[in-house]
Amino acid sequence: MKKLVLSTLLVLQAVFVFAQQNPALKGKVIDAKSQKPLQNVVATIQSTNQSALTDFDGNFVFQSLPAGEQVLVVKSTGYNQQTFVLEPNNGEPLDLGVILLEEDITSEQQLSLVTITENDLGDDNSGSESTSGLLQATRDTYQQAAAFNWGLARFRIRGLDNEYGVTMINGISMNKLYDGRPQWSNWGGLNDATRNQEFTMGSAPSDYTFGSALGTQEINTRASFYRPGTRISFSGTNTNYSWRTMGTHASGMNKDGWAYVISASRRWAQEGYFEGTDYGANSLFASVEKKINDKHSLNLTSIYAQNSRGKNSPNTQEVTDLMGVKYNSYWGWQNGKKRNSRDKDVEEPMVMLSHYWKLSESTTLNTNIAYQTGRIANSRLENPLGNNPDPTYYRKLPSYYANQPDLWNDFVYDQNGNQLFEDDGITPQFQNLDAQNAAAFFRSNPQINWNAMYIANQNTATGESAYALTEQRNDDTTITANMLLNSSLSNNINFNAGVNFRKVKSHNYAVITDLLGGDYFLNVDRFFLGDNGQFDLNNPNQQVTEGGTVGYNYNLRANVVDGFTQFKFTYDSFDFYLAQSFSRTEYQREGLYRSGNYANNSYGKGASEVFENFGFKGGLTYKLNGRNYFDFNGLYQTKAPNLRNSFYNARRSNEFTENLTSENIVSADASYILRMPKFKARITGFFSRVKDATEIAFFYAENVSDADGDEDSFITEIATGIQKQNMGAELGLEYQITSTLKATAAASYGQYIYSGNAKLQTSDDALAAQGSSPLTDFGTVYLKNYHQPGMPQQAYSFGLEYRDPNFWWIGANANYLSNSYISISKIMRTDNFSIDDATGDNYSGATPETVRDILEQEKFDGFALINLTGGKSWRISKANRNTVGFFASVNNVFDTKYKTGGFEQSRKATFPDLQADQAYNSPSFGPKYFYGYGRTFFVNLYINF
Amino acid sequence: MKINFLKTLFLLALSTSALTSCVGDDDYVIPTVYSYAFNAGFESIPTGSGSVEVPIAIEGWVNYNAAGTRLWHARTFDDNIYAEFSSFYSATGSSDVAWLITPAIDLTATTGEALSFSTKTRFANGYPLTAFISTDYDGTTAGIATATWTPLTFTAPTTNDVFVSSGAIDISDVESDNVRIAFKYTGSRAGVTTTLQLDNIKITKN
Repeated sequence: MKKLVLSTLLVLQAVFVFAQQNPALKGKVIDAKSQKPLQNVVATIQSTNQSALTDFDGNFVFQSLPAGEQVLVVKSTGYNQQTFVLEPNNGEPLDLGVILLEEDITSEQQLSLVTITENDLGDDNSGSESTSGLLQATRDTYQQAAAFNWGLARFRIRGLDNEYGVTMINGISMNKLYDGRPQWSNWGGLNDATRNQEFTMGSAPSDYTFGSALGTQEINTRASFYRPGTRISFSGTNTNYSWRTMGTHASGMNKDGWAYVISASRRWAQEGYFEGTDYGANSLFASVEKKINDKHSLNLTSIYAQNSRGKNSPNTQEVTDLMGVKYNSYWGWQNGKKRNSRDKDVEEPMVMLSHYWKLSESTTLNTNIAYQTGRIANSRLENPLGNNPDPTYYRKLPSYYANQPDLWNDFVYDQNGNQLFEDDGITPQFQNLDAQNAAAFFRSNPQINWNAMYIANQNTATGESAYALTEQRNDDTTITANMLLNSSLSNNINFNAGVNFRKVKSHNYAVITDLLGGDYFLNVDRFFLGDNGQFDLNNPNQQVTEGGTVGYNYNLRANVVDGFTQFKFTYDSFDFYLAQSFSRTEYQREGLYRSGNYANNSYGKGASEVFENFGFKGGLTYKLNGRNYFDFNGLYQTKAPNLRNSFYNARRSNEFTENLTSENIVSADASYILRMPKFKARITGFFSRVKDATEIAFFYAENVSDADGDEDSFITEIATGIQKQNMGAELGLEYQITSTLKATAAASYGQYIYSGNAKLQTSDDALAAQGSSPLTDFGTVYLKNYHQPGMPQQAYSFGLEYRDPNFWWIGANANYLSNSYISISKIMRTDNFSIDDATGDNYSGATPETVRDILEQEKFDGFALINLTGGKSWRISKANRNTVGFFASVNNVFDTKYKTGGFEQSRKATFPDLQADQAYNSPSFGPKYFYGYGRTFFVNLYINF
Repeated sequence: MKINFLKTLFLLALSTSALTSCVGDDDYVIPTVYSYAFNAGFESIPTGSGSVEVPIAIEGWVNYNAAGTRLWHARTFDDNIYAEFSSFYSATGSSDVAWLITPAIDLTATTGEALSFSTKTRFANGYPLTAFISTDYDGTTAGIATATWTPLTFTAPTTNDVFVSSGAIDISDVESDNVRIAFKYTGSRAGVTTTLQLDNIKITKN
């Protein structure tokens, strides 16, 4: 092999030498509208990946051409790419003359992509959120469908969570150590400023990171890379916000070597799509580059993105039947305004200094240092002395009464006073007046009653707040430094290497933000007595005022070092690559409170644990000819557990989750790619398996561990050894019917399941209060062959797009999404569900059939979404590229109502309890659901100059 | 080219495994639900109340008092029927060795068997019950004395008036088609008169 490499190398060089005088291929690229030459346009010969950049005058040159028919692609960000089929005539030079590039008005669509966020599940407020992320469009037909058409329905590429992808800004990972997911709000609203992006799918190689099974996204903010100009846009929509303004200016590189980009945006809504969801976001961006000389450049990027929004509640079917899908139980009226009790505020500005060093013609070294600090705050009502203020609290709903048969005690009479009977004519018809009264009361009082809380707080004997609004804070400070080396060792071999250091301090605590008219908040856990009830034994019975810390207070510290190397080999008929990575992750908790139930292991620094991990990947592209490609990728890696899963009771104790191990990931994909001038196709089969994953959840449960009967306890559920398997195929087709009409089709057929059983433990502070271990072992959790929740596992799209030469276009697409499943309660899938502890035997009535029936995973109905898009742009004058234009879209034209996700409540965790709750078809603890947007629109007006 | 060939092979293997490992909506596993090699809850048999005692007479069962005349009888409380014996109502000066023996149970075809039953005491003045297992009992009253009875260790109630499970008694090493479980009440009018109630005799299997 080595010899072959060397000889090929020599031969090629010889060709270069001879060909220098007479370029084999040349052309000149100009802007179709302005007729001005375009610089930095990339021209690529597809079969060899040989590429050339246009110079200042728009000219590009290839010194040599491989023999046979070749396909040349000419592309630049923001323009439609052009494809040429070349038939070189035995060494005769080819001149393509002037190539006109038209501005891609569909790229407006990308700048209009609204990031969809999913509400946090359960009682835990994680720092970031699951989104349909990595769904930023590329030129790939399939990914475009995934981003624009399926993203609103929570589609996930290959069924993988964002934690299996890497999102970077300038090569620095934005994935939080807390849950492995990027916090998209950190650069939300800066669509213009973050438009220079590179993507890889699956485990395909990236120049910036080793990556994982989902793919990578690299956002480049180097100021000189932006197309000079100014752009101002104004948008209106009815999704999570109503209005957006955005302005961006890029200077381009001046003679003194300075370039800068600034951008600012504001997004806001008094009320988004769901009731009571206010929205306010302000974003600022600045990037300055100084080219010191031909070898060195420095770039400073700073991003400030502040985002505040009111969340919407997931609701049970009972609540939705009464109030509709837009109903949100989190808000209430106060002084004529809708006040949401569950706001999420994100404000984590960052600054990054980048050094670009061109070591030689073939080698670059990029060094980055980043500092990010700020806060994520999730607000929440506490009710230490009052009843639960949640208007949908189960005791306030009709189901609570409907599930008590002795309340069905009033006969029903017709208008003439005759008693009514059931169909059998014998059984009198009963009505449950209590349930009817509850329904009527709920309908007239469906929201949080702020006023009642103020009154309650003014009437406590001591001035202690019965109710208070708190913020659960997650204040992270992260310092990152990395170095990325990119070197062309030869014409055929490219080498990448990178090393990263990351140090995180995550301060987690709750803070009183509003005493709601009370004088103070007593920092005591009312579930426990005496010392056990002290949140902080070091400051017992503290009377906390606004701004003070309550409940829990601790730091999580993490140090991560990782590195990777990667070799890419490029030859005429095949390319391949190999990469390996290593990482060392160290976690430690430091308690700032001494918890009453965990006096000996909650205060001060706990032990630290180190996870060492590695990964290998490789892949091969076989180029049958310039049009047919086969692509294969394979990856094996281990991955440190996320911080959130490393400490099972982080709010109270320094202890690590038992049996905590790194995850084990295998993934592979195989693709066939066809690139014809008019027809493009890609079909990919993919497979991934994650082993030894850990998941932690929190909820109230009955009949779990020590809690008997209706006594409920707040439980942490720790599932370890989770196995997931994702398998499927994806397809993207694009056919240019005429020069103006294009048809696209995309499909994703997947099966994302739990491929094995796992282990389950619970942690209950009530046990710790009695002096025993809080942990209870529940043995096996039977998850095998349940589906992974919360995403359509099948998605299909067909679209048509008409693009008029006069700079307007319209498109329509039809989509069908199905096979989305509910998130199952794990504790209900343990033997605790079916076996009565008291007898060691089945619960009465529990047979394989009844248990199987009641534990069936709900599969949501499939649904169709029809979307329309269109846009037009105008040139302001012939002298320059100044344009105005608009982009508009209507999503879900037929206003289809659909569930995007949901979860089973774990409270009724045994067979008889669950059966009793469902006995009258109105469960008090039925599943809660999230719904998708109905018909939404987006209109964007913009001006480029 | 060789690598490509290998990769193609790999792809083939992948797609084969994909086709064979498809999972239907009904393929999920569920938590343990026991099935029984034997299950007796004394449901739907005639019961007595007060001083009326209706002895248990179920096909295959043996109900025999080796010392006195009274037998295990069925009673009901709270919609639940169970077997009961007490020496309190036996004649003055008499004593009781009352056996209640299950029909022959075949455990040869099953594995992992575990026995459990529930007992409740009332007016306790001593614990009267012992339990045995046998594989050579012939089913006759005369055979009781000659059969080999292996005593079973089980959890007995420590307070009156609640049914307490015996706990799971591992009998997985018993391989026979003639397995009998026997419950023996030993008491006397002058000695132990505890009222003993017995219910839910179950043998779970894998």
